[in-house]
Amino acid sequence: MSHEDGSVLETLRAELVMLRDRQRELERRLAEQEALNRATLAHVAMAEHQATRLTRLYVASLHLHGARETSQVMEAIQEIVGNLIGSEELAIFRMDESGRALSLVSSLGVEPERLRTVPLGQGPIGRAVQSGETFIAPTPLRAGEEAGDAVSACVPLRLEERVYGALAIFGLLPQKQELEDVDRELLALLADQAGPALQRAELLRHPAALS
Amino acid sequence: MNPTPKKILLVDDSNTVLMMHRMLLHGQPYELLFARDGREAVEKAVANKPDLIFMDVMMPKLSGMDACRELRTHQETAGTPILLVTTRGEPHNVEAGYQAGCTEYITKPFDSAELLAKVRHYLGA
Repeated sequence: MSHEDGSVLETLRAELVMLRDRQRELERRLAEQEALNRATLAHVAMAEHQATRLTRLYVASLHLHGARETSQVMEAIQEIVGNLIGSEELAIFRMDESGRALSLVSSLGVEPERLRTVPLGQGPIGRAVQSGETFIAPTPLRAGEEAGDAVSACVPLRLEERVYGALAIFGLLPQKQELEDVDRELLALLADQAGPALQRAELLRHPAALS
Repeated sequence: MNPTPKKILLVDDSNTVLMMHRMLLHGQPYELLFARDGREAVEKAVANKPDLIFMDVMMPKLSGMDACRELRTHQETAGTPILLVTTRGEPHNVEAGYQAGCTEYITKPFDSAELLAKVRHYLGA
């Protein structure tokens, strides 16, 4: 190899080193950009998730409080449970005058006879109402499944400091595997807002009670 | 000049669902049309030629399945993507939906992310 050839080779080697450095730099910047894109997409997905969470709560609240008659409030609760939570089997109770039992007010998709009266403290519904705490079964019932007095969830409906009644949810739709955090938020909203909505509708029906 | 916004026809007898649709798609570049039953859906679809239809199955007057069948007989809506939405996700119900001419069959409970994904899929982001 001549001196001249050796010099060309050295130059090419130097260029190769430079190009490899440049390639590594570009790869590093590409990886940074990809990480940034992933983070942006994750932020967008999180923002969308938050927006839809709030939308569900807003729509449910608006629908409950837009109802002026008891039947409309019941319908709103059924729609919220059916369309947003995923069950077409539910029962709505009101505390009876003695304060020791729940009386069935409305039901959908379940045999009403066995639910006409539920004593406080008995079964998951009576116990949830007595405790004032929402009960969510670790394993939800499937649609059409009956297991004694089991429920997928029972929500005491509060009116200020007292319990006004209860919402019991039985079998979930076949494609709904479990109650998720967003469902728990909706149940919490129903616990706080369904009672006042029902009472307002009753007062509108019997305005004399207002005076 | 702004392009003509794509139209979405949302059909459901549930106020909750229609309100969810309205809120989720508010501010997006689509024109929203609403119908409360299958009969109204057919009339609005034929008159307005929407680019996408979301339709509940269980509805008064005309069910979503029957409305879907009827829409496929009209030249204006024969090729429109129709997504049937129902609580019944069992295979025989899904099959009945496809036989009625639906493009896709999606199940309740209402899934906002799925709705937005379907809209983007059929109409673009």
